[in-house]
Amino acid sequence: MGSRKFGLGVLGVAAVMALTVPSLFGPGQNVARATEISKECQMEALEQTACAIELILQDLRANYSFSGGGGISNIHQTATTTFVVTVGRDESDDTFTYEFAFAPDGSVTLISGGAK
Amino acid sequence: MKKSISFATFNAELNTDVCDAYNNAELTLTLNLGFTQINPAAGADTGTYHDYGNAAKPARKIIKWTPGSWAEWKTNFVTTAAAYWNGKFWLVNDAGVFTYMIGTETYVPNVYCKMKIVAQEGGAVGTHHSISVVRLDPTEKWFGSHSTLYDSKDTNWNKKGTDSHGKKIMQQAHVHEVGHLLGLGHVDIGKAHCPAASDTNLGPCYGVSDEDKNSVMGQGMKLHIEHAEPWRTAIRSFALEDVLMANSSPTNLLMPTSRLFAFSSSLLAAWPAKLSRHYPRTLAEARLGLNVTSRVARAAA
Repeated sequence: MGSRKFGLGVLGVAAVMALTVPSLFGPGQNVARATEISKECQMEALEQTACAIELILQDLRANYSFSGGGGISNIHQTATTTFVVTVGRDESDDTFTYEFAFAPDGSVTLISGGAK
Repeated sequence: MKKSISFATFNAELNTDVCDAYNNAELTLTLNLGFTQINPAAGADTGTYHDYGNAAKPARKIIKWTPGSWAEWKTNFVTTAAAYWNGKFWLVNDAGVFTYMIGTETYVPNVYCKMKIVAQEGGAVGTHHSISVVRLDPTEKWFGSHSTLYDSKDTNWNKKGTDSHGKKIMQQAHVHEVGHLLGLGHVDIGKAHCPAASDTNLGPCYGVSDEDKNSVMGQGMKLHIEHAEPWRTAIRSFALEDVLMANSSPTNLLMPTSRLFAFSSSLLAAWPAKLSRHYPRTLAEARLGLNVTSRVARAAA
């Protein structure tokens, strides 16, 4: 229960960041494959999970091939280092699992999963 | 001759009365769709309904259907979906059945594939598929629909994807759904990235290559010859019935060998689908395996 509440809080942070950091979240941004991306983050859990969600959003923008649909309907932290993302599409949701490594120095690295 | 066969998912009618030196037999598949309104709860004018009809999914704003909007939506659905699927395929008659004579010439007709959709109210007798429909609030751009749950905007053109050159792939969802109602699956089912035994609604099942992404059973509007499969299924049944009927006729008992040959020929026939007009062939042309794709002079009757 605690982790779910925490996950929703992180979503809020990500949404705020999406509004305030357009260079990270701008439309049509051509970013590299997210599995190659890691970010230097603060060591706070909140900041690390926010970083993880930023990486997820970058990956979706770069690699999710469907258009239209309902967009992201859920980002759910299912384990300490695992997030499951749901994107609404006609006939079925698309569900993607992302596995991260949270390093002691604060860096967050996507080690598996993605929208491709 | 006009004959009908009822299949579980559609009715089929074969009409050979229209055959002449230039016109093929016509095979019409008819889908009887039973539409049911989904309206806001308790008779309200506005309300919400969840994607895919699943309470765990996001709720979208819906509005009450009016008699006018309901009739208009159904008419638009039927007209545009039938127009899309009607008259797009020809099946080459390699079974040698349904022959007819004009003057002294024997012709082997091909089959022109037609499509009809009948909109009925939900629960009507003879319905092949029952479909519920929400009317989206004008502020809503999208609703999570599926093969038996549509929304009022499923007849609109929408961008579904992008090809490898960055070009938009557009689709009207309802023509894709009608493909499913005819029994067609997603374009890449059976390929390594979309095994038939797995969830065939996963993203890769809608096509990976540009050609497949653009398929109507992918993300686009392009027809492939594979999409003629429902008509091929139907014509095989008619052809088999034709041969069986001929075999059971007492007059035909005098020539069992030729009838046996016709029977096996009908069983083995492939009825190849084509996306362009293929005219009726003379018996000689059919025996040589020639296709007649342009209007050639024929002897008058």
